[in-house]
Amino acid sequence: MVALPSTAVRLPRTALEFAGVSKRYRDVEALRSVSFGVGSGEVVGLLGPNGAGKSTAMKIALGIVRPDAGTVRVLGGPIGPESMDLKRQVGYVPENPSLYEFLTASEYLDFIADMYDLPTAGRAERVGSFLTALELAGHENAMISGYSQGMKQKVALIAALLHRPRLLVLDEPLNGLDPRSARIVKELLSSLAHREGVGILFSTHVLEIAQAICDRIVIVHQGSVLATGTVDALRSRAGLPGSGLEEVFLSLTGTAGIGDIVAALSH
Amino acid sequence: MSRVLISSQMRSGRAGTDPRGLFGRPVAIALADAAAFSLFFLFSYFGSELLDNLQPGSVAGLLPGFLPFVPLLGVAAVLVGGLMFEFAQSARFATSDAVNWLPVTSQEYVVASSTALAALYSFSIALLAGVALGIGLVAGALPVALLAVGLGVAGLFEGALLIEVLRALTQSMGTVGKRRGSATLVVRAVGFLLVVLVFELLFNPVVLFTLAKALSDSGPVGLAIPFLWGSDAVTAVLRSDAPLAAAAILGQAALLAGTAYLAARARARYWVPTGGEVEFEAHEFGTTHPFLAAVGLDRSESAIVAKDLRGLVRRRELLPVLLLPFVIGIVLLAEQEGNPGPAGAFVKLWLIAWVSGLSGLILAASSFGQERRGLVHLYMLPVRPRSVLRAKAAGALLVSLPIGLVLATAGILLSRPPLLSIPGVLVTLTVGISEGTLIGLLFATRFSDFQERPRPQFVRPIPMLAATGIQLLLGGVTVGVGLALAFGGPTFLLDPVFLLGAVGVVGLVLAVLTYLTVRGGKRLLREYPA
Repeated sequence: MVALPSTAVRLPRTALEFAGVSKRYRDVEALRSVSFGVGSGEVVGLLGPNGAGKSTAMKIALGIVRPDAGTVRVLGGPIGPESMDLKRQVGYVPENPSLYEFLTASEYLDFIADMYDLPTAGRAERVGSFLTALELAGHENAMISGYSQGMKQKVALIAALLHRPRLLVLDEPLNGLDPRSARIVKELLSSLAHREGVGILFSTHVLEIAQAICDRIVIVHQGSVLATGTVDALRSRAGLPGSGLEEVFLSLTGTAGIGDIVAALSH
Repeated sequence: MSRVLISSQMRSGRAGTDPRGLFGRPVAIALADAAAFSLFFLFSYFGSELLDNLQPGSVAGLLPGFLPFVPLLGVAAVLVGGLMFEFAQSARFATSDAVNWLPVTSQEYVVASSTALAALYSFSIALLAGVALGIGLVAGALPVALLAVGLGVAGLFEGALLIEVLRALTQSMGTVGKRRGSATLVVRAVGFLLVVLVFELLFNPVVLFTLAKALSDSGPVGLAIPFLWGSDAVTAVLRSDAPLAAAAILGQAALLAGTAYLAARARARYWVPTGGEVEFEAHEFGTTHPFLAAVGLDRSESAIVAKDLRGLVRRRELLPVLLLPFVIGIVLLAEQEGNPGPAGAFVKLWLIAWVSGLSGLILAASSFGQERRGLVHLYMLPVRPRSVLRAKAAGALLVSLPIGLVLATAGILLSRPPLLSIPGVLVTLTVGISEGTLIGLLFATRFSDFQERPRPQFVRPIPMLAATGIQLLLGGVTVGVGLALAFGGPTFLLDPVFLLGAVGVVGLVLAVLTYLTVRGGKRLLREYPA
């Protein structure tokens, strides 16, 4: 078991709350009256096909995109461009890490630490612990542009955790990670949620991961919440007791006819 | 492959280019060239006929001054444009280009790429061809006009092949092995500056006209300079010197072949398809920036400025943004070399102050667009919009003020203005740079281009042109009045009422620009762009 820096803090009951949130981009209705919540100490998986609205929902949760309707409460308060106190308590990993690739990992993480106004004392040690835990030690003084996808993902993860957030919004955080690093991150997220009470909103296409670490699943399809609940509850709803999450997901999102598609492609 | 590369270049710099539309296809270039040729041919032919009727023999007298210029411009057009735009290609796109892993040899790539580049800049030769053939027809010198045009086309390819050589060399500067980052960056920046400066000075229109005139006045003086062999050939034909003409034409052909060989070799030897790890010295965490704090920036603002300054030096696509004012300033000073006395000093310093203001404009205008996908940080991190604007303005000023100071020092040393005028010159320079920075930031908050593409442009082109025009007007007047005051005349400028009014107007302009910029910035940073 790898030793990771502590992120212990006091927490409210609800980390994130969406109530009737809608968002439209020109002709596309990205979200349609979406309601769900993430409790403190809970890992909620946000699942859905490509274009379902997951990334939009995450950006709204961060306060960087404004909903057209509905309310969003983060750690009990409304979030917006001027909500500095709330932003200091939220960590985000976007789907494709948008790092400043002309910086080294050390420079980038130091920049993030400055932006979160973290104390300088102990900063190097904290960053060093994360780098060692995620097997980036020795690469921290090379420009990020030379990193592999997995290495960039790790840097993005560290940047999201450095300031001890109370809510984590993670969009495909395990993309590009090798199995060992993916395992480390999964255990870390589980520990953060269940031992330290951090609320985690987690989006992934890999349903096995969602099944393994999520306490609840929210399935989004064409901008609406299709179903929400524990994996067992979703199985019951889909009428597929004992099935894997993949079968449940495909059944609920109506993605039938895959056999015909495969047959067509095979010829 | 040339067609694909041309399409790529046509579409990579313009937002929302429809590949099915005319302006996204290579045929648009052919149509533009044909239109330019036809228009200028007709204008030149009928204009020359009219001139020749009014003053018989006058058109023939134009030939020695104009035709040798055509081959030279062919090289210049590609070199100058290519140096500005080809070297600004995003390193990420350059190294992930599909051509890096497709079964394409270096020779094939060089032929295709140089053809594409020559085609993209062929408009200048099409235009000149129209003029040359019009004049040539009227003067009864069609064969020599055709020769000049043919050598102009050869010059296009010559320039394009040189660009290929330079691209391969500069690509290798930042990617070979695991070299120390600081050394790599210095080598790349200095190398880029020298290369651009040499070619900008060499192929400057003023210099070119001077050379062409020298060639026509005293024969082919450019035999020692390979790039002038095409012009020498045309001059020799006009003087009926067949052996020299043949030698120059053969020399031009050999030069073209030699450059093509060099380009293929450079591509094969120096092109690195994947970037290596560029390492720096161990980073010291929690470093404070006392200077930035001293000018009133808080910790997060200082962090943004420091981050942006690192990007300016490390990112290849930002090198032109950083170095262009140096290049323009030096070229302008070189052009003004034969302009002595107080009037000459005024003009030189006006140009320097204007270029410095332009530096602030360019830096500020690109300050948001250069964030690219990193833009999300400005939204998700706990930093207020006002702080972001302060950091962007400070970053632009921190670079453009020293640039202005260096250029002003060179201008003062060269022009030797009255000593008492120097403080006024420096104050004027500072005001001009601040004005340019504010204008740039104003446009950045409204017209930034965040799209990821091979040739990033940071600000939409037409608004950027407008910004430059506004800076020329506002900055030009501010700087002009400021320098006139510094130089102590004319007398009406020294009137206290006028002085008060001038300061008031400048202050009002700066205040309005600040207000509009802050409003634009708040609107931009309110919601992450879709």
